[in-house]
Formats: sequence, C-alpha cells, structure tokens
Amino acid sequence: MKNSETARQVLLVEPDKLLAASYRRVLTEVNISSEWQQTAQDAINSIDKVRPEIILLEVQLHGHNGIEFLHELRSYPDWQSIPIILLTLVPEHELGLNDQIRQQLSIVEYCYKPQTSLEQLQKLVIKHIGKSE
Amino acid sequence: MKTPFLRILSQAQLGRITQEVDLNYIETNADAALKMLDSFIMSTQIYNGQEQLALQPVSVAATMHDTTQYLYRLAQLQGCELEVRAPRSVGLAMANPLALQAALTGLCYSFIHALGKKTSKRQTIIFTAKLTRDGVQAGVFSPQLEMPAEVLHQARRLKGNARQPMPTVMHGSGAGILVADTLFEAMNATLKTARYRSAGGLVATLVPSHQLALL
Repeated sequence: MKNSETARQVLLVEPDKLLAASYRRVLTEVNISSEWQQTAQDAINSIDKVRPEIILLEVQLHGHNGIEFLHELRSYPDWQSIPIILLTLVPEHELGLNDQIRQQLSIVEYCYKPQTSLEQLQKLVIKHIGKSE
Repeated sequence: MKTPFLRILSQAQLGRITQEVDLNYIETNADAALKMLDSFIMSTQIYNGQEQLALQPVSVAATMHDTTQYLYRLAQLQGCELEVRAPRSVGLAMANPLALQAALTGLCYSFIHALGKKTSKRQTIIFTAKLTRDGVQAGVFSPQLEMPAEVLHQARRLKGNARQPMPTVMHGSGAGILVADTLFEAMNATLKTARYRSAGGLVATLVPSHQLALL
C-alpha cells in the first residue's frame, strides 16, 4: 500500500507544449506529479524510470502515433496493466473504440479534449489513480 | 486549428482552479487562432471557387516583417525565434497582399506548432526572400525541421481526408501549410520543399513585378 502523502505519478504523453503545461499544472493542484513526454518513443523510454500509475495519452503524436504506442506498451508484461486515459482531439468514432479493445488495451477512459474540462480531467485521474493502488 | 482554442479554454479553466490567469497567454493564442481562422476561410473560399485573387505589386520583404510581428508573441511562448533574411532589394512580386500575408502566417504558424519542443534550446524559424531567375522566391525554414518533398506530396494527396497528413513532421493537421499551398497556387506560385543552408523548409516563387518602386 502506498503512503497517501506520496505524490502520485502520471505519465502525460502530449505533443503540444502549452497544453501539456496546463494539464500538469492542474494535476499539481491535487498533489499528483507528472512526467511529460511529447513522442511515443520518448514515453516508452521513460516508463521504467517514471513507473507511472496512470498514462494520459493523446493519440495524434509526431512520429509513431498513440495507437502504436499502446500496442508497444502492452507487449511488455510489466506494463500491461497500467491504466490509460485517452485525452485526444480524435473523436471516439474515428478511433473505432469498442469494449473489447478498451479492455485489451486497459483504456479506462476516453476524453475528447474539446469536451473535457480540466476539472473533469482532475477528477478522472484521481478516480483511476485511486483504483490502481 | 482547434489547438489554440483548446489552449485558451484550458487557460481559462486553469484560472478558475488556481486563481491565476495569464492574460498574455490567452491574448496571444486568441490572436493567433483568429489569424489562422481568417487564413483558412480565405483559402477555403478560393478552393471552392468563391473568390478570385486580384494580384498587385507587393513587397515580399515587408510582408515577411509584418508576419513576424503578428506571430512574435506566439513564437516566444513556444520557445521559437523568428528571423527575417529578406533584403528590400528583392523588390516587388505580383501577389495579393492579404493572401500573401495569410500564406506566410499559415506557414509560420505550422512551423511554430511543430517546433514547440520540450527542450529549452531555442528553435529558429527563418523567413527568406531572394530574387531568382524565375521570380521572387519566398521561403520559410528551420534548422530544426526536416521537410522531405514526399511529405508535402503526401499531405496534398491526403488533404481533406486525413486528420494528420504529415505525421513524420508534425503532430497536428498541418493546416497552415495546406492553407499556404492553396493561397500560393491562387497567386500562380507553387509551394515546394527546399533547403536554406542546413535548414529545411518550404518556398514559393512569385512572379516579379516590373513596376518601378521607390524602395
């Protein structure tokens, strides 16, 4: 069991520098620390060091996209159960997400950026970080 | 195109949570969003044949200086420096002043968007203008950006059908580049990939104006 005073770690995979700063700031407000990476490759490289409890992922990335990142992530046994929150500009229907895919890839939430406030994001991260204990 | 609006929205929401609002951030992103929207509307009207551009002698160098003024604050926010290497001796080109401004704004906006990196190292965007045998060549380059010809060809093929037509170069839609492509074409110029010293980028060659100018 983790100490409740310990800052919880989120891996934020977000290509936009300015949006990433806002997401990180709002998580800091609830004592959740975050590691920010801009590309799928950098995110993969950082996971062992960060050991995130949850990953916030934009699908549209420079180079390898978020779907490729998810498949690579899930190919490593140690990382198969890290919950994923998709926080993306890609509408859900374009991603073709269904229950089976969600379950296979441990996608716990889909958030369409224009319709997800920072307050909602805060609540979702708290909710799923709590479950990952 | 949605990103600057999302930034404004998130900054406002952040302000509500933290009681700290960065007005410069909001103003800069709103300004850039409106300029991009204007450019997009103009290119769409041209693309759909609703508007035809009247060409007149325009100073490319002066337009480049104006563009860097408009986007200076957005570039600063993203850690980018804007440089203009466009001597006034390049002279005038036949262009539509609003469309040329919009095309250069689109290119610069896309480059800023692509170069907003995690690194603290400053990124550079260079505007160039030079007189060539074919006309006045206007270009936008960055030493930190590779722009292979195939990327531009693929983006043209995917225009309107793909959410991310240039994934190897940028994470967004590259809307600024596609807007510029349409606008330059309407000014009888073709956007092409090119290199300036060690920098990758895009150029378009405009027909020179032979009108006398007091420059």
